[in-house]
Amino acid sequence: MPWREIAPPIMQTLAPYITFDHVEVAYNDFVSGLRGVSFQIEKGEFVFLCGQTGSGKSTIIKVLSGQVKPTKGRVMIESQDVGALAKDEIPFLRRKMGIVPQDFGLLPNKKVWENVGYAMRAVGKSRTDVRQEVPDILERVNILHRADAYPTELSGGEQQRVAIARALINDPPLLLADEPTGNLDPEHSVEITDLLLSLHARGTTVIVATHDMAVVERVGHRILRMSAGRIDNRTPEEIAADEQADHNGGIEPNDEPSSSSEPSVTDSEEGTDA
Amino acid sequence: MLDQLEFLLTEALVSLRRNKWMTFAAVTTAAMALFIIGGLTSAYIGLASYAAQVESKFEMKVFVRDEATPDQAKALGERLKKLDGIKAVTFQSKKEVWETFKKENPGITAALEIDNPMPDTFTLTFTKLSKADDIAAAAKKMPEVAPKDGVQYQSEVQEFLDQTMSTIRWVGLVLGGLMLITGGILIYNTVRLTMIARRREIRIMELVGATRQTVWTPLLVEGLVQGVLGAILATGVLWVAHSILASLVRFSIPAASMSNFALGGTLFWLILAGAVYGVGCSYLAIREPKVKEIPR
Ligand SMILES: Nc1ncnc2c1ncn2[C@@H]1O[C@H](COP(=O)(O)OP(=O)(O)OP(=O)(O)O)[C@@H](O)[C@H]1O
Ligand SMILES: [Mg+2]
Repeated sequence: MPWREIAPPIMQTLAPYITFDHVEVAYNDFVSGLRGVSFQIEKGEFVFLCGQTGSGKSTIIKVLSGQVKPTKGRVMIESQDVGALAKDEIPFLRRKMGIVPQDFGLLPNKKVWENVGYAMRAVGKSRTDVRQEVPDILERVNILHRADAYPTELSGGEQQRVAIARALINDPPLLLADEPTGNLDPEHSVEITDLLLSLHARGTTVIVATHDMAVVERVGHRILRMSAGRIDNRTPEEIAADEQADHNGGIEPNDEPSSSSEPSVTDSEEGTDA
Repeated sequence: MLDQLEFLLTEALVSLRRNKWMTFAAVTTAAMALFIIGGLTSAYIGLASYAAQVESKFEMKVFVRDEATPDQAKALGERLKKLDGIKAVTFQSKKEVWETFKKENPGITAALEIDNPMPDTFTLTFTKLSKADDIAAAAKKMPEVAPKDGVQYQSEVQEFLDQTMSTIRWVGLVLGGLMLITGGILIYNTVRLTMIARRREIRIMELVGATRQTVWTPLLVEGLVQGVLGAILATGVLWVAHSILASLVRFSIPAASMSNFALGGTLFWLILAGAVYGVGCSYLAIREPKVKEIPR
């Protein structure tokens, strides 16, 4: 869609980088991933998506990367309507973002540098490109010294860094990380968080889905709190109060307008909020 | 560009090696299917052109009884000429027939010092082909005509050819079709296996923004290679089968000869068919819903 690329620069500076406009995702008739989510993210922000398991964090990342189409509402990245992209356009959308999957997604039979090189080859870079760029990318995530190791020979934190390195091959302005510290001990979590912060410092917009509140609190950037497929706008004090109320008799909070119309399954999930 | 091609081909090659037994099964079955289809098609084409030739010079041979005197033979000729629908009747004596045959088949007859086995022969041509049956029936009743197979009626040959050709058509359709389906399932399965074996790679490719062509090409190439290997194998087997058949024919039916094996043409057509077939099967496999992703 070339006309989108040449949209007037004034539009690009005025419009937020990422816009979710009443986005709903229904995986099927019974399961919703998102139930009407609206938010905006500016260029260069560092945003945490927090919330219980099943609250829709991964779904937001999947919608952003075109893995799942919104059932309702609109998702815009710059001036591109992600939900309206054709199948052939999605690869080019993804080249403008780095995606770090929760399970690292490393190829076990390929060395560290081959893992990164393979991804580069898959997006059409030449062997010369691989030779020249891979060391730089590995250096940026501080894993160059293990370039010849196989993924199984690495610690969890090191594997995570390789996964991040692979997400950087297209030099993306946007980085999406799903539970990047999910499998790590606190020490490695700090290490990975610092790495993400350093990428952010270089101008990359970073969106991190996590339920690791220790990390979120340590960093102190913007937080989008998810709850049962919605953005939860309560302050931490209100949440604490609601939880207190829950424990004292399971009274539903009044400021959640449609919670009574939701399936009871998600309601009970909310009840277990930690 | 060349670099990218090399990447895609390497991907395909790795998969072919990884699934080598599955590939082997798929290639052999595809070869069998192409062998049957190719063999029967060329037999069919050969017979069809022969049939057309026969039709264009449609004629009937009437053989004179061995004991008949020359006068009786002459009288027979007169009577044949009077039958309705006859255009011309030509006579060849025993000797002439034998000479002609020896001239046409010098290799076979030169070595043999045998007596002339040929009868006196009338060759009949027609004004109306539809009269052929009546004429044959009338000629058979004449006393001078050889009692056994006295009338060589080319429409019998024609009928035989027609029957053979329709048999070939059916056998080819059923047997070849079955083989095609079996081979197709095998190629399909090989590609599905590859998709399962490479689901990590495919997922990573899609995650970093590889185009659909990049993800698909190695899988299509895998099907293509299987189809083409099958075609080459089939051509080889056909070639061997043809030369065995040809030498059998040469020994058992001296007068008959088989056309030479068209190696280039057969190879070309079978490879084309195998390529389309292989790519088609793997396309079907790719289009199937995604292989279940590894849980994250
Ligand atoms: N492919 C899918 N098919 C059907 N339902 C799905 C699918 N993916 C997610 N869901 C459902 O959508 C809801 C939101 O899931 P999502 O993965 O976005 O949650 P999450 O916040 O990432 O949870 P977690 O912290 O466990 O990763 C859940 O109820 C989940 O069961
Ligand atoms: Mg998740």
